[in-house]
Amino acid sequence: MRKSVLICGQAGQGINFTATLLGRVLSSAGYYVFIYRDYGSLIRGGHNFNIVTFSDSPVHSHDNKFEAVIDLDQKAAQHRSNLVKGALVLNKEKASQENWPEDILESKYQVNNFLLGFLVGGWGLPRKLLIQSTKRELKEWTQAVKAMNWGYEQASPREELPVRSVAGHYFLTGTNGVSSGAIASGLDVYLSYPMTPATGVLVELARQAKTRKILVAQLEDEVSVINSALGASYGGAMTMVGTSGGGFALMTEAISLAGMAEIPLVIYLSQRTGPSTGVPTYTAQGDLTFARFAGHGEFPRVVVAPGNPQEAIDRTMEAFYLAYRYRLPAIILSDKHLSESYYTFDNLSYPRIRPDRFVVNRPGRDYQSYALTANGISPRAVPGQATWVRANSYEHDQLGFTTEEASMIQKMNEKRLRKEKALGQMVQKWQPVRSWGRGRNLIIGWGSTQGAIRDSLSELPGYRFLQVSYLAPFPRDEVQQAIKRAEKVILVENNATGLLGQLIAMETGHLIKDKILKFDGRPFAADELVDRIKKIS
Amino acid sequence: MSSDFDTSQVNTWCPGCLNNVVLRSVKKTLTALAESGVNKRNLVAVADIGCAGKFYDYLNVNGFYALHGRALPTAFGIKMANPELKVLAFLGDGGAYAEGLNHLVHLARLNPDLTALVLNNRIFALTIGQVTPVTEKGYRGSTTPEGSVDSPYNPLSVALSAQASFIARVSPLDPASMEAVITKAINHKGFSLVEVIQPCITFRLSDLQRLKEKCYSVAGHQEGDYLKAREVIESWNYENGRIPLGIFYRVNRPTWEERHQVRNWFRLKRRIDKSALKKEWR
Repeated sequence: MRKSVLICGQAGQGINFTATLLGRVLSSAGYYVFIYRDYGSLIRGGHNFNIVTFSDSPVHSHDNKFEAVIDLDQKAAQHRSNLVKGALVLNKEKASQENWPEDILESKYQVNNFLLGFLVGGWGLPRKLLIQSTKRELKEWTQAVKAMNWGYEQASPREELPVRSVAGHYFLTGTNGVSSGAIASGLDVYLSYPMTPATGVLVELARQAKTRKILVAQLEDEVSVINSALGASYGGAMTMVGTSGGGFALMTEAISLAGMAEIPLVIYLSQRTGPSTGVPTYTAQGDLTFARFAGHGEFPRVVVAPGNPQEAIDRTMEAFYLAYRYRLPAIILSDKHLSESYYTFDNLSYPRIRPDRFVVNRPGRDYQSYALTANGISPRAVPGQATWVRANSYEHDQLGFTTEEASMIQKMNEKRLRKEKALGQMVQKWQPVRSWGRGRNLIIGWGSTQGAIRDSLSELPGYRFLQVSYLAPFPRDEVQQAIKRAEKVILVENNATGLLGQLIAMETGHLIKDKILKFDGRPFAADELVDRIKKIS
Repeated sequence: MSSDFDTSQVNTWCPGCLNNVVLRSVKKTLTALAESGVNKRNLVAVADIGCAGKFYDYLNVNGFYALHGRALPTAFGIKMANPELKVLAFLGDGGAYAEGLNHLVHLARLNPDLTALVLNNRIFALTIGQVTPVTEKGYRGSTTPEGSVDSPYNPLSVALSAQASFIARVSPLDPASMEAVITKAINHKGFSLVEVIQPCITFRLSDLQRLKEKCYSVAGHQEGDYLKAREVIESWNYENGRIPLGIFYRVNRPTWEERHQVRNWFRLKRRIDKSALKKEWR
């Protein structure tokens, strides 16, 4: 069993709220839920929609075939070709047929609640799940519950959905995962400038700032954000910044500074459709190469690409650990699809990585900010400790004083680059690639395409999916071996030129010829992928 | 005269550069601060790029040699991490008034407790002589061979409009007054902007005589009076006329760190309850 409900209307009509509530109800009834959000860059009007896909077995992506529609702006006709036969369309037309009370249908928001009650009632799901979920989402819930009850009572049984007994489903977005992973890593300071689709983490952390004792601040621009963040990290705080492509472009000079001055920093980059302003509220995987190589000069970095909210928690905690242990910038590469979609999990886990600032306890009088060490990692101290601590954007000697001397320039470059070796070994234990399914044919992808690819595997016997989760340091051997052993290799990416394919070519020498690319701002759906993969086969 | 704050780095300013006078004054000021009980391990020098950036190498304190134009956000970030640190930023007119003007305006508005020394010689010196946004009209620099056709703006007036809580101008030609003002700036709780107006002896040697003649002290000026501050600040437009020196404006406002309840995060022992984090998503 796998079903999808479309909830559509104008911006401002509360469709996100209604979809989230439906997701919560289904999730608490023991179903696996995925919610995809499709909206334009406007505040009121337009035509936005959410797709709520759910099933009694795990769901990792949305479908484009709808069994029911909550249609708030009478535009469901636009989606006609995506309705299954006999789909239930709930809108004003239906209301007048059914003689539903007019006052509730004219009331903004209560109409959503009425229709939601009707939908859930038709499935025979317990009313208390609906009411519990509403109370969780709303402070003022009396009116909403009244409208829902009304709708619930009007519904005649359509199809019985049993409540499944589960220990408890977790229901969250990629944004939630990154925020939670950061807090679990001991985050002290989060700086950002609002930019879709990265704003969610700023909002989520601001919501939790008081209880979790973290400093969340919105500054004048991304340049100030990252330079202040490097000051804060130098000053001893566990620090993260967040942005999307355009803001990340503004940050690149300071990413190079983090590399040179060896200041730990975690950077959350949630991609949207580019280039330039692009399409702000739509998704893409167009910044892989940019993130991997951003910044002038040569220096080591970490780039992780989570594929779902659980991985967002995992990879965020790894990014913090690696940034602080190795004194370098670590980038978490997400996108609109992962950041803003809801996923369900039977269980959530937080990796057993202990938050650590990696600061020496008692730096001695002979402390050097840039000591030349065998593994390239210079012990870190912070100002206020019993020594002088220096951070230098200019090339420097071991004490951190400026130098232009040839042999020191070379030594310092070598020292910084030496960190890459230890880093590569370190990430081995964290599954830099993940494999799904079995088969001689290989699908390669990264990031948020994970969901649609996993959901397509059941229709693609003989295929396995290799998900590349570390873009830097790059898991060269794992990718190389998987490609060598495969009969057929297909690259799947949400961009126009196959950026992971280019990175694989650079790192391994393998050119992947078969590519399935999508670059219309929309994420893949599983059925579409199955069709396109079968065409290649 | 040797100081605790000396380093062994070779001084690469031009022989006779007045930055040396400023450096000596800063060292004296810091020495006095340390003697008055300030923990010298809490002193941080943040440097921009250009001749002013070299203070990083010549001052033996904690230091951050930042990007061009970004000394101010870097200094601000250091205060976000640990409000106990005393942060002193060194910038030139390029970093403060051209590349980083944006940040000057916002720090003035937000009022973090730190001091910005802007060494203003009205020239890009280290890149060998180009006009800055405060160079007078008509100046012949390497990129304006026919003479600059653009007029300067008044950055102190901008800082005042942005609600800076401490605005002053000093000159290394009067080191005693300079030291007194820098000390007050460092002790001021909030954002203090001190413009050090000085000649570049390599590219603008004639300024040496001009500054000697044109600078005067605004002794007796009422520091808390906004309108008087505007009047004195705007009495010199960075081109002609007499150049006022002294503290033009000083008021007390809550600092950014106070308003945002910033703590020394490094000293905060966190107990992270992962099961509570997890519960958020049930």
